[in-house]
Amino acid sequence: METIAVYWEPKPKTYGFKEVTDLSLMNIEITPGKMGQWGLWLMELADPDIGFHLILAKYSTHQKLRLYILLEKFWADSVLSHIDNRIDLEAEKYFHLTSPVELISFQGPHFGDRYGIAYSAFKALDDQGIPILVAACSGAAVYIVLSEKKLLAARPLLAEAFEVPQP
Amino acid sequence: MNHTRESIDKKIRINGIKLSTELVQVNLLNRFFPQDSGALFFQLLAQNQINIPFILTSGMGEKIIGSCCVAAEDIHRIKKVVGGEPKLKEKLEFIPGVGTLCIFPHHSNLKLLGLSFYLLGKQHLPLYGMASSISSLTFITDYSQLDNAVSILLEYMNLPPNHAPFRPEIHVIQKKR
Repeated sequence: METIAVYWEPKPKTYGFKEVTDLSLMNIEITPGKMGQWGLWLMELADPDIGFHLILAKYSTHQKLRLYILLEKFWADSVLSHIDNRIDLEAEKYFHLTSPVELISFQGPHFGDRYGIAYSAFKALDDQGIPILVAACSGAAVYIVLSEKKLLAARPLLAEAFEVPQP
Repeated sequence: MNHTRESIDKKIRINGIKLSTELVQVNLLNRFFPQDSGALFFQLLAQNQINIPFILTSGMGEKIIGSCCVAAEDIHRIKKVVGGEPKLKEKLEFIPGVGTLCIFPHHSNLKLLGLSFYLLGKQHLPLYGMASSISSLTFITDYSQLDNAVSILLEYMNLPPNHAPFRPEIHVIQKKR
């Protein structure tokens, strides 16, 4: 059975922007054969209750997966020393930390089912030359990680492209 | 490490697993005009009213700058649309027959991610990408392996009583009038 609902909005509605500063973006190269081992190391990191704001993994080349973990800058040192004990960071060169970085994220009704949401967000920033470090659109949520001090400029541009509820 | 291995022996309680319909992964390759090609790809799909339910991008000089998933039924339209753009044609790579497996909730804790990596890696299941969302972790693997992946994960994860992994039966499609 097909049900047609008509819904009109001048621009895509969001439930509000979530903005976080003082974050660190870790970038770890993982070969598929080592995924299980990395899983164990990540579980060890879960024990001291280190929380994340965003995780994504994508292929950087056809053989290597890059895992990005966005977490509070406060935790970066302990995570670094944990990983440092397991891999040779200098020799392997497959670990990179960008810090500080900033995050803006938002969600809206049926964002995962609607075309053009990501394009609206990326275009708003691209038109004004604001580079995106990493981005993920998963479910109904959009996550955009920016360099330090870029959030201030990005917010009004995204607020122009999307409807944000006013307090 | 022993502590970690002990915690693997205890099942993690989760609230649900959601599986997608069949999807095609599109990788955006970083050749010649990376910024242009990524923007053009998203623009063309938006103009042609084609949804991209899952997107990962990184602008850090990698060979593959973005990966996204589209519905399998949209792939012919996408190939037609990008086929008319010489700038794009050579910069896209298609991986057919993929699907997403979504586990929730993650509680912003690395344990669920670590356990999933450990289990999927140990069984050599292909992982084409993953991302967190508000409460869930979404993994891309072969569509034909989704049920197998669920069985592997449920050896160490507990669903609430009377819950089973589900595939959404209602599909929402947006069209402009």
